[in-house]
Amino acid sequence: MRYFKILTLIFFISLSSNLLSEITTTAETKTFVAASLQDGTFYRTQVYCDINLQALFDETELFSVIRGEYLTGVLKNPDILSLRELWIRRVFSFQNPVLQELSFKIGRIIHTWGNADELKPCDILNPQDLSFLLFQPLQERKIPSLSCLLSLRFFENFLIEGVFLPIFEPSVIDNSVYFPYPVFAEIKKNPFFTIQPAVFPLKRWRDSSWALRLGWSIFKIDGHFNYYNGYDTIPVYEISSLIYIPGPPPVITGTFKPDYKRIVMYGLDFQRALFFNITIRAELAWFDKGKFLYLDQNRFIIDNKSAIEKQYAEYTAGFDVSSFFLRDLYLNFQINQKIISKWSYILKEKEITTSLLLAIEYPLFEQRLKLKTRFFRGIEEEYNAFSFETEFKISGNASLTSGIWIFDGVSDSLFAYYKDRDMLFASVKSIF
Amino acid sequence: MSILKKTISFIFLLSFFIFAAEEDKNLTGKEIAERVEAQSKKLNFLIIRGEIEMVNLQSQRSEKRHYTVMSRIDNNRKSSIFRFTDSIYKNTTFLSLEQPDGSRLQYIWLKSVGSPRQIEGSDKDADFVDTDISNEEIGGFAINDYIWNRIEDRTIDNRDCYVIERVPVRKNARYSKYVVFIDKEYLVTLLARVYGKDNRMIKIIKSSDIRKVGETYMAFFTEVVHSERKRKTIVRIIEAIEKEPQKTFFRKEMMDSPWQ
Repeated sequence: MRYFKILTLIFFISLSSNLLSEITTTAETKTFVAASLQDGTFYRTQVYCDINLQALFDETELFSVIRGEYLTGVLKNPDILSLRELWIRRVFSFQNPVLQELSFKIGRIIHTWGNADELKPCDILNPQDLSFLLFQPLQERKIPSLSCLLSLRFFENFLIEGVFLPIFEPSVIDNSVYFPYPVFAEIKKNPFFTIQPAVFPLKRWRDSSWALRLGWSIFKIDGHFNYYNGYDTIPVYEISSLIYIPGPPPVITGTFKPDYKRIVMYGLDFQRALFFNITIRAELAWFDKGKFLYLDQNRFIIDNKSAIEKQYAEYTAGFDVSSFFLRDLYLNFQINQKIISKWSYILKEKEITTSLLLAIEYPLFEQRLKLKTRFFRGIEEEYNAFSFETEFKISGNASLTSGIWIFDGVSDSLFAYYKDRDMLFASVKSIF
Repeated sequence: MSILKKTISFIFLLSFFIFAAEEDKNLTGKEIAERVEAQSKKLNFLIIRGEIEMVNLQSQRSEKRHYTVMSRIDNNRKSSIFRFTDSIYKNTTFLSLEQPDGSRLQYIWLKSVGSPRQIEGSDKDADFVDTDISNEEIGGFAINDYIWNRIEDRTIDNRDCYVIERVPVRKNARYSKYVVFIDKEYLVTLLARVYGKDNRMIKIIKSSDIRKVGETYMAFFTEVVHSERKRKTIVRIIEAIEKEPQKTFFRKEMMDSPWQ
């Protein structure tokens, strides 16, 4: 918080200087409501107004988003007024053919790693508001992190980036309707289980997170090698104590402690435009340390633990194509797979889990109306999630979106878990 | 000056004009295209601010938004970047980087995605966002992507023009050909007729208000009439200045830069 205040102070000193005239201001408002398709119960209302201040002074850039927000449906309401994004970037250019540029960016930043869409195993630097699953776009789900980024460009086509995240911020997973992982919901709804306050990483330099990225653009292939050494923003619900009380009926009582683990991830991503309007994008992450996978609940009492550390690979590969069969028809297809190394039958997850994502968009009436549909399919977990939405451009500055999400499945997997919680939603967005 | 000297000078001058006229006549379509490209590259740096207006020809409903384009030439390779600066498309940014082989590497950056997305080559003649202007018309095209057939010269609005039929090499191109009228003096396209796969004319692009900017000429008013959509897109240049934009703006990693 101290760093945040210092940054804010720097920013407002900059504002009050004679550079004030260089700043451009825009406002963006959004009203979002979601309700149950089954009984009409309101799940969530979100109303926000973002004031966006941005400026460019020679080779220094300032960017900030101040957000006023009203939000329901989460257990911990956010501040009504917050500084969502705020960063300063300074770029130094050199005539040197080897080292051509150096840039330094500091502040509350949204980082975007990886080249795939939506299912992005390498894009793990920022925490996310997962309380609404995938119903908000990834960039809107991300919570900006206090961080600094040093970027060096070599030989025109090579880039080395280092990111330092000194303060840990967790993802938001509490919600009155959805949980991003059904296991959280199961633990939470069990009246014999108690959840202790979360254990957060200590505020020490050595508990900071950091990441490195090497980027290249050769033969029109854009790619990156990624490395992340830092805290997972999703906690592991570890067992503090578990007691078996013989019946009748037998009961297991337990106490769980959410613990944030330090993880190590190696990643690779690339994108390349091909032919026939097709562009392929892919990313692969190898989680080497710190990822804990849950056991089957029946094993909790036998093993006296809820999760064990496992290495796994996760990749997403896909393509998007425009003007597919019909002019302006846009199609995006992705396959995501998680492959657990040295898998054991005691794990809740299967050795290989596969998800498919298909997104189709088609504009009508001179692009005033856009029809969008998305379909998620879990192959091994046997779930389906389907959305259909219409986006209507009211004017050059405003749009109205409405749609539905329908869930189905046969097991207790991510979306199947919510099959009695289908959703209707509507939102209005405007920019001034 | 003696009569002999005058006569010799006259003969040389006459020869020059005859030679120049003959050379002009002998120029191939591709050579004219190369001249146009060379002319456009006379400006090493350029910043343009303007307005795009889309008009429905049936309802007369119109929508305006503003844009900024920056371009620079480094090592005879042109880089350009286009951005909408207001409306719901605010900050939608398009980057085009000329490669050593003359082809273009193109990216689009959307706030909702947060990272640059490469655009496929044949996607170049797809329309940019909801306008009637193609990605290629914004980002430029590679001469080798087309076959350039010169046809008979014509006069348009009292301006002598080269007329070239531009046929895409790629089989999956959206349009079958472009018939382009290029002003001989300014080397600016005054008129382009765009034909669909069925050889029906789909778009007419008409430019006017030609002004000198630095060492080159530019059309400050362009109107694209789309006969199928019954719509037109008007592109106006409000300001065009020869000023060096920062090289770093043309990096795909910097497409989120807050310039306006």
